[in-house]
Amino acid sequence: MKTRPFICFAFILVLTWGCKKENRIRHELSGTWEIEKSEIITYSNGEIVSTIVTEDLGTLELTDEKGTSPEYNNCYLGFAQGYQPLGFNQLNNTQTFQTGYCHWYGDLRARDRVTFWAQGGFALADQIFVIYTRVKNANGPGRKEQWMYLQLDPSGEIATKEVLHMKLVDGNGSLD
Amino acid sequence: MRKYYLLISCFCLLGMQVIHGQGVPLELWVSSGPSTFHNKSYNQFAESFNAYNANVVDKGLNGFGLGNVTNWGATVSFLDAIDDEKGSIIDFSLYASNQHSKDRVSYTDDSHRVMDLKRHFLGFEMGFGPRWGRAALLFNWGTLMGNSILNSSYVYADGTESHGQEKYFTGIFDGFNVGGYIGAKFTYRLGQFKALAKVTYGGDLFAKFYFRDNNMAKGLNVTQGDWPDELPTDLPSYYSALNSFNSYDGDYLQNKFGSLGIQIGLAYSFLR
Repeated sequence: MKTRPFICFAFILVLTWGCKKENRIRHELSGTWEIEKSEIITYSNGEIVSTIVTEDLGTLELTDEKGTSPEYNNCYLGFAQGYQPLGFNQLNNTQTFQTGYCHWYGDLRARDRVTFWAQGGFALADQIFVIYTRVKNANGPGRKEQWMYLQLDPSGEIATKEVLHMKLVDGNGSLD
Repeated sequence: MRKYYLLISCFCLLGMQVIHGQGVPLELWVSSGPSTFHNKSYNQFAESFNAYNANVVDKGLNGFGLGNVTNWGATVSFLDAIDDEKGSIIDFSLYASNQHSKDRVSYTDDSHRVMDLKRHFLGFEMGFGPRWGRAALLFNWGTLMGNSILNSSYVYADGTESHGQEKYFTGIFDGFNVGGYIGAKFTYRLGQFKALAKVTYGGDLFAKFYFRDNNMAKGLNVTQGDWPDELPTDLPSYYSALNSFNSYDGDYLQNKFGSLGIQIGLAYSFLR
């Protein structure tokens, strides 16, 4: 049996294994995401009190700006009139909503989070971060994910859970 | 660091191809089995964590205990052949190792925290030993280098799993280390296939290589409280320092593991 194809196969596997995962995660997250639906679930003493569902809430465009630090990828806000995701309330004290964008990044080695951030606070000296948990991972254009954000009550129980149902409508987020 | 992995792997694979071209058998193999994941620093963290949260913890962190390891790779096996002669074998292996273990703390309110450990290594191994026809026993030693990922998530009582910033010790921590091991490998040839069983004992070499969450939100998040980018092994000191705005003088969780593992596997030999 010829061994060359097998050695080439092993070589490709090693190369694949060695590729930087952070780049792959950034690439799969970048693009224009449609916010198909938002669920705001309110809790009291660990029990669900209410669930509010709204649909067609605009877009988030996550760019993959190669050549810059991954943390400085831009996120352009295209929310529907009068709508703002719960997690983005924390970015209210930043220039995000005047300029129409903030920054975003994924993780180095895991697909569990997507982080949004902007300069804010007094004299825009602080960095404000909002981290969404990626509830469902998927691959390829047209894919759907759920991004979740939690707010706790003073006792550490969930007070409010926001689940954004996201759909990647344009996977070409690269600006290179 | 991965560029170095690639470079070393390329050289090794090319070397294997050249050696195989000279008539030396080449094997592709996969093996899997249980292994211990002992980390003294993590045990200190777990003990401190359990004691500090004793009033809300139902079942505390135990350490990583037993996990599983899967290896796959290629071996050039000098002096090996399909015959029933006695002899000896010297082999060199290049392989990838994926290792996994979990720890968990349960709270009295039915929520829990999961500490999910994954380690990805590139390994080099050398073995030497006698062969009795189809069977061989090799004593081997090797080195591993790679990354560990400790994914700490919080699962609320209703099943909501969060990797967000609302809890102190949630995070995706990672670290690099280099390790060494010794072991023994028994192989039995069945035509071009080989069954193999291995025992290995070893550990990481560097103590001061720490787990760190590289999310920029950690440590810089002034307006949302202090969210540590490393896991302190002395929680009372850590919280005391935090509340008094002093620096924490204790140690942090190190990415330094010791292991004892057994594996069984299958190899396929390309003979020239």
